[in-house]
Amino acid sequence: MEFEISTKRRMENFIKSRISAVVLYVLYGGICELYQLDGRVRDEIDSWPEGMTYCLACSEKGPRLFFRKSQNQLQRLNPRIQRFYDTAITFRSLESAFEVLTGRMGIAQAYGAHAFSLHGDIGTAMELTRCVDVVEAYLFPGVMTKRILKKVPRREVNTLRVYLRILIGALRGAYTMSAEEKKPCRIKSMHKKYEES
Amino acid sequence: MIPKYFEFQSSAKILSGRHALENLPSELKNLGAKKPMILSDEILKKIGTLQIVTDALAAGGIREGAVYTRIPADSSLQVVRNIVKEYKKQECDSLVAVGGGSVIDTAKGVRMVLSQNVDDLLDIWGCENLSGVVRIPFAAIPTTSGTGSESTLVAVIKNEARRLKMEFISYYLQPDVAVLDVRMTRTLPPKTTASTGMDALCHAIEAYTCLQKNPISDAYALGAIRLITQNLEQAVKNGKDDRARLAMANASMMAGAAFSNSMVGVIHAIGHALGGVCHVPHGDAMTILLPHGMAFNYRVLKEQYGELLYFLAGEETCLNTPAEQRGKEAVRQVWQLRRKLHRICGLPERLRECGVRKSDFELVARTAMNDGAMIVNPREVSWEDVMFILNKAY
Repeated sequence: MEFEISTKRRMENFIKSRISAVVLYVLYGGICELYQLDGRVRDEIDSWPEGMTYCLACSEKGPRLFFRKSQNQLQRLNPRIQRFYDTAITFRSLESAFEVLTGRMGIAQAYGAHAFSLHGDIGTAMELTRCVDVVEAYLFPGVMTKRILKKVPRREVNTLRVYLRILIGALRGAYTMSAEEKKPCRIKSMHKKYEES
Repeated sequence: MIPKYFEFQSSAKILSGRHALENLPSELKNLGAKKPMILSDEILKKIGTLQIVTDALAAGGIREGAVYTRIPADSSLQVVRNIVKEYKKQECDSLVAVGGGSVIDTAKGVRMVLSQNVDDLLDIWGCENLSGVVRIPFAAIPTTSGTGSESTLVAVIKNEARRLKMEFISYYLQPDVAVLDVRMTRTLPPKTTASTGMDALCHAIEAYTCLQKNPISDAYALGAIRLITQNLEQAVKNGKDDRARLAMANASMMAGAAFSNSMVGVIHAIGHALGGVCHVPHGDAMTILLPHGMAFNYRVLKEQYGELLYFLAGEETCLNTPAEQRGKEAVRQVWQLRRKLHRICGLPERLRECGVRKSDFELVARTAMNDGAMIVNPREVSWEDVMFILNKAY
């Protein structure tokens, strides 16, 4: 017998899920735009191998963001089609994901509170975390970032410019999801590994 | 201060002290194990430490399924695969690991593959992502007092093909039983005793100060620090002192339980990188980096270090030190302990003594920045900060 979820909770979950999906979209937009505008994000992403695929999931059944590095740019993937990734960060509950995505909890605090599980290389998750910290410094107001980040990264460009570019990017469809499934980098590396051995 | 949310688990049953090994057979029977596979290394086999364990098992009526002793200093994916094959071939039903961190981590890797029903560890690489599928009884018998691997939820396994150390973190990695018997550590040379003891001290200090700390991990960390400062010097000077040896074994286990639940920070992140890039033994890296890491974090941890002074130096020193000076004094006590151990057994104090070259620093710093331990360090660490610490420790 399955537990019946109350209507109030169902509504809450629905709202949190929708808001989380929107924030994930803006976060992706922020990463894409800051890849062009901020040297730290650019250096970080440039160091990722070709095909590096990340998945950020707000709980197992919640909204998910898949993106991949492809030919020196980022590409958003369709979570309904894409099955493989190199590194996946999955929040254990929608509540924790919502707290992180709405700037009430930092990634380090979330890690400390066992709020997410990680599939894949911890090193690559650290690379993404550093990017997200910089993006949060632009997207969230100072009063929030001071509370959730150990040290607030300096903004290299104006926040309004970042938001404007995200808006323009959204309007011209720059963050549209790929229609087909893409190979992550790890599968390629593993093939290479077997060839080596 | 109590965190808004925390988790704590230290599930290994501890058998500590006199005849602890002789009680292992009954524990294995309680766990439903009938035919364990024994994992160890060639040195322990050669010096007779392994024989003490197999004697205890045989005397207790446990039939040994297989013995695998070809585990190298760095556990690797290939070794794990070989052991899994042997385990299945011999139809074993449980694991007993006798050794240091590498042997116990290898056993954890074998247990992961067997219990998760996967062919390869690469399929389950990650952090808190395992679930209990098949239960494999697992007993750990540490032969050093430092790694705390017998009580941790961490395993580090080398991936030779990709030249990296894969880190696994899961509560399902904790052994069912940990046996702390002084017969296992009596033969440990003074220098190794000192460096592994400093590793345990580093676990406890970082566990007490990292972002994931909680009141229960604090209790374990403080208990470990007290045992280490009271017994490490004696264990180094006189390896046959069973009381000091047992205290150190318990301190190591407690520090392991503490850092398993609160994690470690910048000192371990740089230490792991030094191990990977320059092959510096982990205990030596911790010995060298501990005071430098504490000095780096001092700005944000002054109060917490002050709380450690009582456990590092005792009541009298703590009471004679003004409250605002206690943090600084705690760091000074760690410097002093290291100096003392250097004089007794030649413990290295600088990276250059371990064959590290300055030209390796950039790669070490890059590797350290991607270590998972960085995320829970209380002070934000940049690449430049790591370079600063490395230069100071050189």
